Amino acid sequence: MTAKVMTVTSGKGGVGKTTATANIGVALALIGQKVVCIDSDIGLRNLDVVMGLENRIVYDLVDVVEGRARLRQAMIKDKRLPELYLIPAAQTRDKTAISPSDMVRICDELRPEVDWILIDSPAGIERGFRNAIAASDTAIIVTNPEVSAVRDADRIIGLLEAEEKGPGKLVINRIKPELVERGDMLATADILEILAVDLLGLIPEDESVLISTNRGNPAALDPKSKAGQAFRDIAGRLMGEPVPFPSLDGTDSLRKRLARLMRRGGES
Amino acid sequence: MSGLWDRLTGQAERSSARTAKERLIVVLSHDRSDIEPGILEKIKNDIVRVISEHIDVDPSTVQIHIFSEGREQHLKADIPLPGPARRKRNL
Ligand SMILES: Nc1ncnc2c1ncn2[C@@H]1O[C@H](COP(=O)(O)OP(=O)(O)O)[C@@H](O)[C@H]1O
Ligand SMILES: [Mg+2]
Repeated sequence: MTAKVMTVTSGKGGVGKTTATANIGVALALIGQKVVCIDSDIGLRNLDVVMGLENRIVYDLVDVVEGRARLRQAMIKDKRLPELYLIPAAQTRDKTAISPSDMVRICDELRPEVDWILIDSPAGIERGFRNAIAASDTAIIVTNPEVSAVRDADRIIGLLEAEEKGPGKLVINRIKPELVERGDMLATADILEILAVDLLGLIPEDESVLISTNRGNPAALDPKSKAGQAFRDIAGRLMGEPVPFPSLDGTDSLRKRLARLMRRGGES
Repeated sequence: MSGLWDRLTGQAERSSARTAKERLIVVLSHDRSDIEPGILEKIKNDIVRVISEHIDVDPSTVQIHIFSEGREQHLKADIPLPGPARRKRNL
């Protein structure tokens, strides 16, 4: 095995990096892949609670870096899935506790053991971002259909290109089809035209994300969750399957609506 | 009902999403290139000066701006040429 290392990043905070990391990890593990998720947000540990593994932490990433624990010991196994692991961030330290070369070393040690290494990155473009992308083969850029999130995504794509980490792949999260249809939310095509990167996934705004996060059961585990399905679609695409993108630009187009209105008008 | 009225009267064309897109395009063209607006003005003046040595151009019609093609940035100068009457005067 030689793992693919993917960093989930965004620039802007709160757009859904941690949610995406947990759910893509779960979705890949659901189809039998061996996955390690690493929380590189030192001091703001979150991936553990989103994955529902917070009660089982003994050692963290900084313990491994500073030699208090072996990598194996810091890998928490998710009992719901055969091959999903989490390496949690330290909560009481800061970003300077690890360096980009530490991340490279850790990922190199993990690479032969697993299929995927997913790194959840902190917000920002400073040290934490450098740590998160140091070992990465591909970046997954998460954004929301919103001016500031798209702007920050563009900045991140530029930085990734400058670091020769490739342009990355885009996940647009928290899409509200009704708003897109009404003309009050940036449509997928507009965002892709502006950012000019490859699309990896479209995730709807979905309260099942909140509910599943409350419970510590990522939405990707819930067969009925729409967001969960969107994350499973991403896993399929990462496996090279040609999973089509559902349109989240509204249930039907303005033209269709007008046509229906005309027809109704004619009948009366 | 007002939403429908807006659509029928073309108000949907001026949707907030469209405004967002247009604003993003402008903001990103500045973010992506490290060129400050003041530099563009200087480049424009230099171009006008060089061209004016050969052709009679109206500086107020010269436009220079940055635009994106994919993720690539381009500098574009648009220099309208004088009509035949003015050109003749130049000869
Ligand atoms: N598709 C979605 N639908 C609804 N809520 C979402 C969605 N994606 C993320 N959220 C919520 O948004 C908040 C921020 O998400 P999070 O993954 O922590 O962002 P980040 O890691 O980028 O800071 C969380 O409360 C999360 O539950
Ligand atoms: Mg986070």
